[in-house]
Amino acid sequence: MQPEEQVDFDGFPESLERRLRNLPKLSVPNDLEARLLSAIPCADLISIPNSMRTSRLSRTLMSAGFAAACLVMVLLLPKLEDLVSMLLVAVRPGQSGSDHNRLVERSDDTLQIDTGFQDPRLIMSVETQSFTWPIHQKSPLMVSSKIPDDLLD
Amino acid sequence: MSKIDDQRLIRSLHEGRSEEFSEVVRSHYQAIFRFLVHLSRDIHRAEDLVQETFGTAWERIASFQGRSSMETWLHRIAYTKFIDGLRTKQRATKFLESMLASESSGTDPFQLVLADDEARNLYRALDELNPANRTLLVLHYLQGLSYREIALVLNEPNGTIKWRMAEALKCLRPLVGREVSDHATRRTS
Repeated sequence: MQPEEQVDFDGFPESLERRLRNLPKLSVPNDLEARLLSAIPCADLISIPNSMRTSRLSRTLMSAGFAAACLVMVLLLPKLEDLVSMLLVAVRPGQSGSDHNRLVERSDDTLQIDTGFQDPRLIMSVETQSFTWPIHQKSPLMVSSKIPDDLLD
Repeated sequence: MSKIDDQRLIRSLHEGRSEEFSEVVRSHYQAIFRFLVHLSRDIHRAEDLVQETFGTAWERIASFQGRSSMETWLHRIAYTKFIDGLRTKQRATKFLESMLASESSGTDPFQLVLADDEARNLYRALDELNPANRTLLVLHYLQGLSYREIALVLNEPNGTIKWRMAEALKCLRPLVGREVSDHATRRTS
């Protein structure tokens, strides 16, 4: 005995859903595949850029690293400039310019100092300054330093 | 095409083997064409749209991560293309008008459907639905996409799709019944 077919309320032996699923498929034009395939560009001409192959996480990490490096540079730049000026002042007058640069470069490898990029006023002040070794340099006036009496009213 | 095949294809394409894209076209162009015919109700428009769909898929294949299936992704592109086309050019051609006006040639996609009375009635009823309901029913029952996949194609929540699907079936039911009774009346007279 065959199972009784479920009768839909619209009078069809099959449910509406089943009839929708069983709808005959539309035929497709014969030449459509060929047309689509011919529209694909030549394989040799196309290459997916390397930047698209990197994952989103690695791209985020690279961006964060770059931003951190920039921040560190900005924060350290004033201190490095002070260090450079102090070293320039400490150079002996008899030394040649090349020795001068070498000394600075040895003191701080990260600076990579080039004479062409130095402030010309700074170089002039170094050349005209005369002093004797050892240097008795006065400490700069600090906020915490005691104010000399002659400066007070 | 299975999920594993999709993943293999995506990997190959990301490695630069662009010739693999022809396999994507061969596997999916028929389903995408049929979907676009149902949406646009215009064979020639569907042919244009299917070409645009695969053109866009080719351009964006590098950014396709495989989180959805290739089939879902292509349906999504096709649907977007259709909506974009509607915005620029409104086409009011009735589906059945184009079906009945088309010549009976070997390449006519409606030939098989027209030969079947029941199929004709169902298609006529589908045509009377509003486009949103018709799209839902076509995606699920004719294209075979799951609710989750339809949610991805239409960019709507899964629950909304389930609810709207039930509503679309409710709207279709009386239309099918009417078509049947009209057809029976014509036969007896």
